[in-house]
Amino acid sequence: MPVEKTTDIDLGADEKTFDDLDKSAQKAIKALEQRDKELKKSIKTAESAEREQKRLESRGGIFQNLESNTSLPSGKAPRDLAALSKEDEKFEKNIRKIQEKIKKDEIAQFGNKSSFLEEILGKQKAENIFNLVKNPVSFLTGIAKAIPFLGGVFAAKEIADFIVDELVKIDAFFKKFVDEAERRTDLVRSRIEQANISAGLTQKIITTASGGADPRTSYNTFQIFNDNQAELEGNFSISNNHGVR
Amino acid sequence: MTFQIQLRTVEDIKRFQTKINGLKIQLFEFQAATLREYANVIILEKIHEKMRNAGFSEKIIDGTILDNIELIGRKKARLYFRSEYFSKTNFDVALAREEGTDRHFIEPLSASSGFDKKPTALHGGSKWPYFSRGHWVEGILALEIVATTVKEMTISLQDEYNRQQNIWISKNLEGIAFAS
Repeated sequence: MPVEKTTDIDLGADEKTFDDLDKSAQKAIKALEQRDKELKKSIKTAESAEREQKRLESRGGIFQNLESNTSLPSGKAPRDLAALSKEDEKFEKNIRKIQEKIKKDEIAQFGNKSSFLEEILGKQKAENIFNLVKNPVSFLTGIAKAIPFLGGVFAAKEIADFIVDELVKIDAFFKKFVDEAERRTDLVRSRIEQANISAGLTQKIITTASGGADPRTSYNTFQIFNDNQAELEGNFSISNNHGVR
Repeated sequence: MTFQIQLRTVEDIKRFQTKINGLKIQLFEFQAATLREYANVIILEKIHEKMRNAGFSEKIIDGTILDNIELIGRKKARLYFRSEYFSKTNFDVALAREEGTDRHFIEPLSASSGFDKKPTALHGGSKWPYFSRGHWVEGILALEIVATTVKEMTISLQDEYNRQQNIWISKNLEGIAFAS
């Protein structure tokens, strides 16, 4: 019988070790793929949000910082941006009716001569007076001059009702506009200035009128309006027809 | 030794999986080859050296080998070291040198002993011209070179095997795993 001696050696890694590692790798791949999917999804969401923001910004003006779901006052879009809705069509129809009624009254009173309004306001302005409702400032200016006289004579009730209705609609829009303008001007004021203004201690006017801060060189359009009507009409095509005729 | 594995992308993990599969396929071959190579170098050469120092016959030294390597379960390998040399009279010399012998009486051979038909010699030598009535032989000291050397050098072999395995794994996972 020969000499036979044995010894045992620990092998360390075995097939199971590699199988376990393989399983762990599979799990890791799944987890990474899941994470990748989520990442892509969130990037897509962020991109669409960015596109929406750009779309809002491209609208410009006071709508720049409005949220996408913010509805305009009284459910109205600005008239130059929005397509004609049913309400708009109704509005146009009413204007046409009133125009026709005024025309009839004119004929009844003065005969079928040149338009009464055209005489007062000029041909272009007479045609556009009701369309100027779309531009509230001009509308109010025009109405202030023209309506007291017209209202006394013709279709006063219809015109008054119409104006009140439209003013109520426009009012909410104006409030929003003024709030936004105020917010923006506040941005260029310091907090102390804002506090002073709100307390009524100081007054600051931001205007587009040209001129310096010096009173002698500043450009006071109100003064010109009162003092030099001829210059105003010559330079700015503004005519004061109040009380004419 | 532990390995630090850095996997950043799905491609990294897939590359890692491929490497792991490669390692799995080569594992048995690596274990057998590495164990045999380093057991020969570390244990068997040491046994041979000790045998030479003790004045063993080259025939015994040549007959001392690493025989089988047997896997026990998944985690262990058993190495069989064998030392074997028989004289013409069928005397196990290697065993005698390993485990020693007691003082014993050598009986004379006879025709009836069954070793050979005629009583030609003592001790199995064919040219021995004498006949004897038998004689006493002193015992051989048990050196137990194989047993002690195997026991002593197992730790060194284990360390070397672990080192080689780490080198093998880190070479195969180059760029993915870092030894720490």
